[in-house]
Amino acid sequence: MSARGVSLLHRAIVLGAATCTSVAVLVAQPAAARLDSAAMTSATVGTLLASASAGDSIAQLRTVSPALHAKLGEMRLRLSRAALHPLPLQSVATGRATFGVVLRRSGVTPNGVELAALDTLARLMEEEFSGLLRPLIGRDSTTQLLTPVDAFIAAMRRQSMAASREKLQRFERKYGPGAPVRNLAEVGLNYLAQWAPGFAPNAEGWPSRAELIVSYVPTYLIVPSGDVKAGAATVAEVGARFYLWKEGWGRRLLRPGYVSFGAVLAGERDGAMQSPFAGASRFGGFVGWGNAKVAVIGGRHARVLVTRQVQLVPWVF
Amino acid sequence: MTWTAQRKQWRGNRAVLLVHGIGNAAPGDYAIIADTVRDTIGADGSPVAVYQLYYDQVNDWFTSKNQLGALLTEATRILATRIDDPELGETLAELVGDVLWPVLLADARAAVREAYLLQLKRIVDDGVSAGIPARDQRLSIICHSLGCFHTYEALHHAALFPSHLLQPAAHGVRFENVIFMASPVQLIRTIADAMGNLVPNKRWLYTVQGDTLSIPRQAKLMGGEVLSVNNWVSITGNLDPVGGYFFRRRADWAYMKVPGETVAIVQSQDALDISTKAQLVDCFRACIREREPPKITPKDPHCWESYVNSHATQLRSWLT
Repeated sequence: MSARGVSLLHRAIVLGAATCTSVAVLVAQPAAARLDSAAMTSATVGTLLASASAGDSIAQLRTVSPALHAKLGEMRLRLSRAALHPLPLQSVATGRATFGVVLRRSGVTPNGVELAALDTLARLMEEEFSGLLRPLIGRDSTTQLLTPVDAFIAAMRRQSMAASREKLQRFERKYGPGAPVRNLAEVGLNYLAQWAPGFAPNAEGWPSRAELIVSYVPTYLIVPSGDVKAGAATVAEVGARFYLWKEGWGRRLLRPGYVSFGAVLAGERDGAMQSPFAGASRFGGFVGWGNAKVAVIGGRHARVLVTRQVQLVPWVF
Repeated sequence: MTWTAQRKQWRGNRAVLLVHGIGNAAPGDYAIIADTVRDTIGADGSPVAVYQLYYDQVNDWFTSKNQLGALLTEATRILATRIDDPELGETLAELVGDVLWPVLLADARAAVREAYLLQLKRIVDDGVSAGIPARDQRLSIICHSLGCFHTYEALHHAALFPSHLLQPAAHGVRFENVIFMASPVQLIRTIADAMGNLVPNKRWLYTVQGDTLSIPRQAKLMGGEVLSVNNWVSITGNLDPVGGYFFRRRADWAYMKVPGETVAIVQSQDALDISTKAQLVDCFRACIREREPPKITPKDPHCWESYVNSHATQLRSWLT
């Protein structure tokens, strides 16, 4: 570090210490080539503000870059509520991902304006400080000064990794082993559905819950009741399946990975492998709770049917 | 089993991600490429963390890809028409067609991209855990074939969406090198354009966006922009149709040319001893398998290992 850099950094430390004692901790440590994990963990909103002030002073932004100086000042003003300053940046990042649950426990919750200001301040420092400060105070001191920014971004990145894992789990629930297997007609129908709202993944890459069903199901069983005897029944199903993303769901009977509902069409006669279009058609509906499905056929020959979601012939039914 | 990103302990400030191409790669496959890269660029004694992205487990969830028959046939037909060579057209279209299916399934594209982004976030986080701030990490990607398409898509998405914390300006994540080997990105762009409205969720298919292919970038709040990649390298062979060469003839509609790219190399593949179109067709016909990705061997112009070995010296100079 040059003599001028040392002098500037010292001035900035004094300035920063006047506004936040944590900056003294930040700069009291010897210059380290690497990030200090303890400083990362203990970084707070106050530390970030102090680093912003220090960087502003060292780079003499008031004269070198008045626009950046003004923007930093604006963000610092938006974050001037004293109660925010002791908040650990890791808690702020986690709190945002959990809709403030973690922060509410601490009794202080940044509002939307403050969160946006925090994002903008960290972004301005990441984008501008490195290039401005390294020639003045060197790489190590710059790293030290930007530690709160690194702590904040790293904490948010870990939340983002959790979100990515969740997305992949959802894709796996919808398409992976154990998911209902589509027949050829459903492959075609769901391909076309990708153009309909709510069926394609969204801009952030979250999969859609919905899937269309059009299926020939020869595996229903008739529930005996009164004159109706047990036996097989065949229906055509048209409906939709909705995947349940809730944690802990997807592997058990009581907590299945999806529900389904729709209309059924049966032919005139009961029995397995019948044509649902033969003779006088009978109409009804079905609901599915995971693999378990119940259908009701109305009309003169009303039936209650049960079955399990299964594909007997790959890609056919 | 849920897909997990690879985790490594950094001993230096460098990391390389290897992204394979068409094939059914499982963890442990392409170890020879990882060893070669580690030996080549670690020769200066400075350690490098080598990651490999195995995304075929995610691909396998989308078994319906095998039922895209009519659509893939249409894509392959367009491809054969474009190749416009009675001797080469059909066979090369069949071979190259295997890189087209992700274009036709929006969910498959999004899932592989998410796995890719999760791996990138894991790499950066491993570096931060080792005490290297993202802005000081020396990150490189070496990708091959279909892996180039996924790389192009993931890097553009990462630069556009702040939610991944991988933006070049706002989050300091910049790749020192991205090395595309036998990239089908331009070929996919051309065929996807030709298929028009048959391609779903085109708005988020970065390969077809803009007037030309581009290097991902981010505008800074105070003006100016930052590129995601410092050294954008493209390598292909003059007998490799996936990379845009049809028997030593470059097809502009299939060859990836990105404005601003740093290095573009077309490797002579004369050493493979393929002197006629019939020999090239025979070579590729031998690797095409029914309902499975082609089996590429070192004798094929598309072999990744051969590309890495042929360019070991350049890799060393770029990555060290």
